[in-house]
Amino acid sequence: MSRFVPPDIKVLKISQGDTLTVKRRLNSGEQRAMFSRMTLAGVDGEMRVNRLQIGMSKILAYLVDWSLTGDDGTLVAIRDQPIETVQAAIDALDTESYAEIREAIEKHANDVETEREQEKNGLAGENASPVTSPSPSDATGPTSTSAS
Amino acid sequence: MAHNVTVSGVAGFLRNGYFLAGTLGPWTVTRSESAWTLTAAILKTDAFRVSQRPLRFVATHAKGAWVWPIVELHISGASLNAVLGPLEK
Repeated sequence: MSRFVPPDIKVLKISQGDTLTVKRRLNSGEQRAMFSRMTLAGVDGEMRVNRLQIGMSKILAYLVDWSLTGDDGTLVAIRDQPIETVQAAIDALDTESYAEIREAIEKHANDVETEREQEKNGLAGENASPVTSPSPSDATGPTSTSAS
Repeated sequence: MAHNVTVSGVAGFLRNGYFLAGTLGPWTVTRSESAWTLTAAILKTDAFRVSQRPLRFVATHAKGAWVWPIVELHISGASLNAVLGPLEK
C-alpha cells in the first residue's frame, strides 16, 4: 500500500440539484495548509485555533469544484483559482448555502476519517507479527529440559 | 480507409487527479491509424505531479473539454510529446 495519497475526487450532492467536487482525502501538505488557515498567533506568540475559521478552512481544503451558478446562470468558477478567489466566492454565499456546504464537507471528512481508521485497523490485523522472531523452541518445542 | 485527424489549440493542461500538473501553450493532437499523439509547448510544470500517474491532457473548448489519458510522456526542454489513450470525453 503506497504512502502517497492518490488525488481522487468525490462528488457530493447538495440541495437544488447542485454538486460539490471534493478531494477524497487530504495529503499531508493539504492538511497542514488547512490547520495553518485556522490558527492565529496570540499576543503571547502562542498559536491558537480561530474557531470562526474552522469551517472555512475545511471547505477550502477539500473543495475542488462546484456547480453553483450566479444570477445570470453562468458557473461561478473556482477550479484552479487562487485560494483568495475561492474564499471570496464562498464568502459571497448566503448563510444557509454556506452552512449546507460546510456540513456536507464536514460529513465527508468525518466519513473518510472513519474509513481510514477502519482500513488501518484492518491493515494492522493483516500485518500483525510478533515484535521478536520466535525462537526455534517455539516452533519445535523445547530441545532440552533440565531438572534441578 | 483510415484518415488522420488533427486537432489544435492554443492552451491545454496536464492533470494528475485534481492537481494541475502542467500548463501548456499551443498544442496539436494527431490521430493516426495506431494512436493519438500530442505535441505541445510547455509553459509551466510541477515536476512531482508530472511524474505521477494517472496523468491526463485536458483541452478546453467552447462546450466543455476534451480529455485524453497520457500513456507515454516525453519532455524535452520546453516541448512535450506524448502518446495518448482513447479520448475520454
